[in-house]
Amino acid sequence: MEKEYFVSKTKNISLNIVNTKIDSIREKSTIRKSVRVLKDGKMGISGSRSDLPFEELEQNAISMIDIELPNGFAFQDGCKKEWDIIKRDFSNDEIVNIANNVLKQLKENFPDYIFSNKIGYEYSNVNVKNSKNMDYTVKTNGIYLAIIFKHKKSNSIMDGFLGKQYFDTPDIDEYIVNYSKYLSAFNNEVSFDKDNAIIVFPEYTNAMPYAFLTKHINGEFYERGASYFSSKKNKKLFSDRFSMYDINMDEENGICNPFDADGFLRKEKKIPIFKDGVFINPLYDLKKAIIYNTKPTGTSTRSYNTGSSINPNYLFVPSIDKKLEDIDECIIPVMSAGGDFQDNGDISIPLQLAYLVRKGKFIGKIPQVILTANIDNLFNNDYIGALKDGVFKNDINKYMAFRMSVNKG
Amino acid sequence: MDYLNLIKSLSLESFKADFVDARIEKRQITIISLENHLINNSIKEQYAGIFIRVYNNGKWFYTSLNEISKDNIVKSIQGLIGLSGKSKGKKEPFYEKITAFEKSIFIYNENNPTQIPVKEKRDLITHYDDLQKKYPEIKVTDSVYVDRYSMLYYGNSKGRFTAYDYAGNMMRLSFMFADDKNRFRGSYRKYANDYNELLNLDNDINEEINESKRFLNAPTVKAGEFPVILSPMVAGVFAHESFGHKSEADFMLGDETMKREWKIGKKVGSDILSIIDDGGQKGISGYVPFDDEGNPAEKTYLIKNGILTGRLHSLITADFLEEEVTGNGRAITTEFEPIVRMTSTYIDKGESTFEELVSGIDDGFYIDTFKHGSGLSTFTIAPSKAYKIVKGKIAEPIRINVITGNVFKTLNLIDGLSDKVIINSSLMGGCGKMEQYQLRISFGGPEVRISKMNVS
Repeated sequence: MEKEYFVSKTKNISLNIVNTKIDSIREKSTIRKSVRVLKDGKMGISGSRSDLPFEELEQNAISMIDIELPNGFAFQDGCKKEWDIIKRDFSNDEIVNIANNVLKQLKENFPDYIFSNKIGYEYSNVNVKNSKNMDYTVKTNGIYLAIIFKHKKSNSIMDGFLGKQYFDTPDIDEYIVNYSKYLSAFNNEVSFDKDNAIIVFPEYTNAMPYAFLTKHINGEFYERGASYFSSKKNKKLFSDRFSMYDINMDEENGICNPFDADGFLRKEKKIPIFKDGVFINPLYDLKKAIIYNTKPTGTSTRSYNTGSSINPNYLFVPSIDKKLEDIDECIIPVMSAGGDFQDNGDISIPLQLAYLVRKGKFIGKIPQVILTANIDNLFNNDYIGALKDGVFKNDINKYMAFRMSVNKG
Repeated sequence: MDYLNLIKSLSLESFKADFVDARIEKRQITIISLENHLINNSIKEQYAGIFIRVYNNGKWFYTSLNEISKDNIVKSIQGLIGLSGKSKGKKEPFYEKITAFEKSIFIYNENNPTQIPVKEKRDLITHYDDLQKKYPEIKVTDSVYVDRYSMLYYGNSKGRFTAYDYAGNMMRLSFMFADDKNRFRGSYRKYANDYNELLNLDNDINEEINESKRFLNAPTVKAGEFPVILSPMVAGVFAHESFGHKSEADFMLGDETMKREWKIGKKVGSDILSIIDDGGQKGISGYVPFDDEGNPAEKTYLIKNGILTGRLHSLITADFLEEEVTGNGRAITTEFEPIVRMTSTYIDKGESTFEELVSGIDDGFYIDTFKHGSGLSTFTIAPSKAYKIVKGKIAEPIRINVITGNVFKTLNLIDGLSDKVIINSSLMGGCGKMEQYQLRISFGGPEVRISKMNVS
């Protein structure tokens, strides 16, 4: 019987912000443990949210051997290895000081707004060992600023979100300067009557078209004919300007998934999914790779107590040679909750807050509109590209521009 | 372990802090799922955790523990009190209004899903999963069985002690139809308090699969403004997203504009509209007889006959707005603090029949099921199954990405309600707010007709 032991430990401090002040402080340490056992082509999993002995979890896992696996599925051979991308530690007092500094600057610079929600820090240590000598450890940490803003005269619950994650000492001045564009232009209401426009999403990972691609590059969907891209491997589907890669390591941006939930250690940090508009490869976990006689892509994920499923690590889109200031006029959506797509590629995105921007200058807030498009057009003639710049200078997550239809909201 | 007695034995009133409380949940879950007819999850897990709050010198300090022992808890409370020594906030004596009492409501200890063998549950979901095999147009399937039995215990330094239990079972089959051009994902869901209600559902499942198949080649709607009828399930998510979240009083803390804007007695919707939140109803996933601050559930009218009548409170927000607590201080698990959340939110019934509502529409849409919803100053709902309404009759299936509108404008455009409320329960998904996602809630209503909505 093959066995695998998983333990994840996190330490978290979370500051709740109410009315631009720290209202509460929550400190917590969590542990998640699990054991997976393989016997006669089936797997049993047992998980715990407390520090139960592995022996007890192993017995529970043996009693739950039920999960069906293809012939040839096995835990991965390995060695002892550690990936520690932590640049520095942060004390609780330091997190509180950072939060107070951010709130002080926001309050001084933007007295007409109320700021709320969360500022916090998380440390994570994950270790996976198995009976085939694999013993991998990953250590990460990060600070998050997840601040909601609301104008004091606004009758909305919230007007917008100022989010940023840091893996080193936060550059608070940059945070304030970059987001001051949103806050300064908020009160200037401008009309917008055009029925189509260049739309520049501030972070491409949060753009709805990106979510569509994420869903349809799943290898299982692809093989079963349920993906938008089924039977289209190696065909040119999109603009030459569009390429997309799955990357599992980028220490500067806190991406550190050297091995996946199957324990599969990927050699390449970057694998192509689309290259120059050609669909190269969908994503597989180990189980599906065996079923469909292809290679795993190191894209298996699971929660501590569940079976695995296919999910990308980080989908990176290379930039074109264009900046926001090179675009004469565009709309930048800042709040766009509730949009959706049909699996035939039709997309609708209601914008609750969006700015009119000319040559990189934020002019003002436009009325609420609904963007519509179809995926084929969006990534062909209407695709402009991931820009060279983003909201934050060194962030991997850049602006992404498309031309889309604009409907009255 | 008798967790209520453990909390009592802590003598929370003896600690040197303005207010201390502790909340323990023991949760037992089963999850069995099949992905494309192969079992990929078979989980039976039991865990317990405690969340501790200390309010001292005008600020809150929290921690959570998975190792529940008296020594551990006492040490943690003392640690939080130590931290609070540095604090210099303005003291809000909300705790002075808390009255002492003790009450326990255990209704599921004789009949809950932990008494059913895992094998029986696995055989049940495998049987239903097999039904999908006879439909060659279905390319991807995902079948899930989930159950949960929770026992929740609460105590505070003012002498209040509460305890209750909750049980629920649910199954969901999700099936994607695909051909060369089109795809459509349909689903069948069933929630039950009693496991036996999940038996003998073959006919219902086959009926749903056949109906969903009609959507594979349905056209996509041309964007515009149309009259719309919402099913009870969609009316529920509309009530939850459009108005429920705005009734959560924490958004008013320190916000004078919102206090003026949300003055009780203001006209906010059409005369026939009433929206209620009530955690006291048994048998639904929004059953919360005591919230996570030990307050009993209240039936709270948020809107009555179009007038803003009430809002949802935690201890802190009730004190701040000088209103009564409503039993809405809730957390998703013992790893999080309670914040103001809904329980079971629904639109009250009207007087029309469904046929009468439909007959009044010449060119519009009936929204039957949904994928997700959201709500700010505008709300959005992403429909799953929707139908055209043509000349007063339900017509062919249509694909709609999003229906959306300004909340207050839309609440005033409600011009018809059917005469029966249906509450929709679920153990999969749930409500998300701030960092706390998938809170157990329910929502519902009658069929609701809205004279104009953005459809795209």
